[in-house]
Amino acid sequence: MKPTPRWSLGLLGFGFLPLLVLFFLHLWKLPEYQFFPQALAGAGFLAWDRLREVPRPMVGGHPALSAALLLVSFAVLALAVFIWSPWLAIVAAMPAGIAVVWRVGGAPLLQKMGPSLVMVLTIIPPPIGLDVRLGLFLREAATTLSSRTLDLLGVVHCVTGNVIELPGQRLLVEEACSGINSVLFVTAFSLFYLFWRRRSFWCFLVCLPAALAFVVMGNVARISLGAWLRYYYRVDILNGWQHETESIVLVAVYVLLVVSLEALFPRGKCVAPKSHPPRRETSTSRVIFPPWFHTVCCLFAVLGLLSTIIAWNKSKATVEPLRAANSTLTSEAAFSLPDRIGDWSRSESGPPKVSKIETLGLSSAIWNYQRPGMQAVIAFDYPIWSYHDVAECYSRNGWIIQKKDIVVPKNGSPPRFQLTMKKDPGIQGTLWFSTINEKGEWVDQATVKHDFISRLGLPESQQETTYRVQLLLVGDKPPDAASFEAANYLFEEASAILSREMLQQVRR
Amino acid sequence: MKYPSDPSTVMESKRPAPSFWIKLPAILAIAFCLALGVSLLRWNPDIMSLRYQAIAQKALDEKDYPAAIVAANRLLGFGGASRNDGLFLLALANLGSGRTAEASSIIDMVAPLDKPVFAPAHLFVARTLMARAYRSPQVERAIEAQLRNALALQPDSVEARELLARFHTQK
Repeated sequence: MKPTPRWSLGLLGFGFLPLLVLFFLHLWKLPEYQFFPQALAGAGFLAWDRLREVPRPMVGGHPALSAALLLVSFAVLALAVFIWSPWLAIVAAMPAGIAVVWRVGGAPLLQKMGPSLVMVLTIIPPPIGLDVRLGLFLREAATTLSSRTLDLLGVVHCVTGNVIELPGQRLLVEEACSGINSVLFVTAFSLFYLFWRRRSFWCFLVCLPAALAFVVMGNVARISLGAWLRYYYRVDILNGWQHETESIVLVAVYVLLVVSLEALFPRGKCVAPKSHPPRRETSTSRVIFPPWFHTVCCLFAVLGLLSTIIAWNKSKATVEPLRAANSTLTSEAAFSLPDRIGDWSRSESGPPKVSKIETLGLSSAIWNYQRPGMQAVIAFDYPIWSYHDVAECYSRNGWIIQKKDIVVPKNGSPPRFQLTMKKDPGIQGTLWFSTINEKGEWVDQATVKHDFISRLGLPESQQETTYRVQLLLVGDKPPDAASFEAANYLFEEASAILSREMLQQVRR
Repeated sequence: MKYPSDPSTVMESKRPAPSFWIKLPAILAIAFCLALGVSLLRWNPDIMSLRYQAIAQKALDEKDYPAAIVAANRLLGFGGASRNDGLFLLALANLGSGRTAEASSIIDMVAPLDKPVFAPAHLFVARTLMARAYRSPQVERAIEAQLRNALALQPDSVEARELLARFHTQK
């Protein structure tokens, strides 16, 4: 039986399917990318809209280019399966898609499908954490601009990291307030709308940055208004349902502004087609793929089968520990540290409020220890989904990180991050933290591996439940060598005790 | 109004040019962004620093310590010449709100015994120590050192001279 093009394309699609499903499942966990179903629908609509404008009969492109693109796609997909990266799989799907489009309709079809491909690009998180960096930049910008706006409004406040402090109150400028979620959605919407309206390059050049400016200014206005209302009238609009409502209203306003901005451009600049072929001629069933195409599609399908098996094994391997961790550690878990560790003794009082320890996770157990002239806080945060660098939390709360090192002791103690920080007014902080997973592996060292794959900073790296031990030492001056060693010893002892207790309770 | 049944044919349908009302939100938003942008560009740290110094001082006078702490912290954020002012005001605000440990650690920064740093802080410490009913020899030495530090920074300070004279008279 001779394979039909549809059958071959089905096999090609199956090659990507398992990893793409995982990719979209991961994407759904990221609030800033939860617009992806709309973006895909938009891409589909644009493709359907443009398909009928392609001159008939369609003339397929040269098979050599298709072959080259499929080869690239296969290599990238194989790498994706090997290192288990759903992100690489969607990257691999792009050249494969282009190869098929090229083979079906050549340059005219590819040109018409361009907008759809651009739309798909908006839902692929960039590598090396560029979107995270953008989020941090936007958060800083939103905080700084809001602070200056509050100065204009006469609101007495100060800024520490991403926290705006009012007399007796603190406002944390979170990711949602920084506008990162809105930025990606508004960018995708602007692209869709301008493509649909067939706007010129110049219109894109003006509208896209303007839309981003609207988002930034909208969030500055939201934060400033919230702080102003709280300062003068004690009205809180930055939390609870008010915050959610504002977010929805703001997104609606951004959409309206994009539509409105587009209307400012003269209509004569639209590049609308004069006529279209009838829709019944859009069938691609007559497209003839070269004989090798079916073989290549079978190879893709083999990769798809391999991915399915790997995914099945991975799901079986990870479900049990996670279930155990959830059932044991969220309800019954108890952690304790002795009253004395070396020359450190437990104390009830902690360091001043200004230098409180930053915790993250569903639960955090905290112990205060002291020795003459020194005070330290130990925290055990759990369970944390995936790896989280707690240094970000300290930066967000006004600490300036002067030095950050990964320390790998030779005595078998856990590798740990060691941070030297400072904060106004003249507070010096030293922080140690280590992260352990449910298998009892200390994972901090793995996060700073400088191999090629790590440097790519691919999204959806290994997801696991982790537990973090941290020790914060604060004082007016950096600790001397003896104090440093004492704190280091306290951290090692506490890490050993807490990790042992955690593993016992997970395995019970 | 009759809509086309096929959404993709909207482009080809003969619609009138967009009305002024649909353009208005973008015009207003651009105007708002420009106005806010110009206002933010005119923001001057020196002026703000002076303003926050006055706010912190006023809040201290009115015993509104939470406001004074926030204003002093903001003053610290401007850095530069206003940093010692900010630290001193923050110490006073912490003292007023009962956070003595934090206040004393800040005072140690702006009024150390071994070197002159900030004259008003040295004078404040000297005055506070002189107000004690019983003064140990150590406190006596501290008062003298604080006053000398203040005079090193402000040789013409009438208050420092007067306090030093009173200190020696009492001795």
